Amino acid sequence: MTQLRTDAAYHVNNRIVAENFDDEMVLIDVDNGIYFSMQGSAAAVWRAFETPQVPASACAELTAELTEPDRLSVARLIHELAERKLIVEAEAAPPAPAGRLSRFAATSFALPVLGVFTDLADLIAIDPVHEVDDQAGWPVRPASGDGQA
Amino acid sequence: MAVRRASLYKADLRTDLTQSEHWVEGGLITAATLPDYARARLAAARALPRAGLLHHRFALPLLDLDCWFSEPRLRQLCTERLAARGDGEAARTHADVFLLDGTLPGWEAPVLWDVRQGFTSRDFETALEREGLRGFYHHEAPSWQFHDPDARTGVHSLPEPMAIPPWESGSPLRLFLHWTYARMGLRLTHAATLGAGTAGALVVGASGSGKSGTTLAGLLNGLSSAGDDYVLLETGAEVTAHAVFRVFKQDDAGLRRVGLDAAAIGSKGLNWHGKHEFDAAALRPEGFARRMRINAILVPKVARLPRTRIEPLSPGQAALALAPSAVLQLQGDMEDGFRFFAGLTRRLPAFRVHLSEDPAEIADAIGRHLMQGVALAG
Repeated sequence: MTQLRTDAAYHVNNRIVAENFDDEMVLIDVDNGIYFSMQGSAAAVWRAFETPQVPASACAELTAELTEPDRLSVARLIHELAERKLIVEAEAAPPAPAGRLSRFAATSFALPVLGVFTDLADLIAIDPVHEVDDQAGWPVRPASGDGQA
Repeated sequence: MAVRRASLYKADLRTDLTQSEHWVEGGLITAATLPDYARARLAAARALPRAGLLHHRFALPLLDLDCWFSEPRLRQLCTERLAARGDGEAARTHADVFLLDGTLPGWEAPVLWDVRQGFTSRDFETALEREGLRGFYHHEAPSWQFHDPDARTGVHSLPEPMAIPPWESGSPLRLFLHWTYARMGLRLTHAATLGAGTAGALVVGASGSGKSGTTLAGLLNGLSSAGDDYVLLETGAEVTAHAVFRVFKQDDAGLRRVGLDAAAIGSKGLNWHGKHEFDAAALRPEGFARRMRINAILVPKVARLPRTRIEPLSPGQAALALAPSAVLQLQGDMEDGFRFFAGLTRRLPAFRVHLSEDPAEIADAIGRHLMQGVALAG
């Protein structure tokens, strides 16, 4: 499982394909076949990382006007975004200057909801051109794999 | 099981390390040599004397496809599975596909992929797309499918005469068709269809959602269908589905639910997925539609209700049911495909269909729903 580094900048994973609908965003990780839905404020949080952000700073900025439970919901989401590789470390890219993100308003904030769907992951898992374990070969994934469900 | 399969595969690798050393260092294909290998296989196929090959021209929707086979059984499979376009319809373009196996004199058996390299399917795809190519590698009986969209030429290099991936028995040539149609601005789509009168719907959903059962129930109870697994979608002023494959798939339990059995459909046995494959165009000729206008997206759900209930579904939920499966089932052009299907779900009304257990009632409910939609739109 990918751990969030508190001292690093993150940005949206450019291997994720996303489409926005009125009330929902749908995203696919075409590397592993896992797909996602985002509702509430989830898509706005994810899109905040379109420019590199240090997660703790971004969370503080986005949630400055929110209650503690709502702030924690955003923090938890950011951790899951990193775990699911929806955001990844921004190698060599400096974080965006603080103060550029739009704060969530307490009166209109909707809890972030991230739906994770793994039912199609087997379609990709049977693909032979995946990372393989050095000793066992295909189809055994390396122990330090990507945490695919 | 996985360990046994892995060690067998490594044994294969050792055996083949000397194969095609003129080709690539170490005798295995890597990310660096993949595009060159693809181009060489395509060129070698084009250079083969045609007199030694079996030819068949498939008059498919909007496409004339000339196929050149080394194996008569594979040609037979394709002729049985593919659906011809309707009378009076014309092709917009032409393409060639070669299906050649290692027993054909003058044709080199597929070189293996170097599994010692860490690699992702996206990197594989990118390496080929950078060179304007498309491709797929099947590891179990190692074979390559390469396609050059500019030249409209593909080659499927097989180790043995019938060693196509098992899931392609019901939909042979599907990747070549996907790549060729994508270049034409069309989409081969993982979806079923049902129609009533002049109205039609895509029927989409994950495995086990009731998609195939709903489609078969409809076909046998007065509705029409252009396919239960893959159809070709054409978008313009209207959305049109074209039949590409004439085969439906269903397991024994699904056949029983609609009052059929293996003998009634002329089954030759179960496929790799435990399903019978049968010719829908022969089962109910008047119900098999070569083309169908699409007005809606239906997402069935097995609910075992006394009566089928149909309710609106948001575009986002319809996209979740349609786009990931449609994109991931067909390698290549994934981003474009995702945008295509997202656009489709914004354009067409979508509905969740909570199914009853009565095939005739399901067909009646869907038929009435489609007809009412057309009446309201009109």
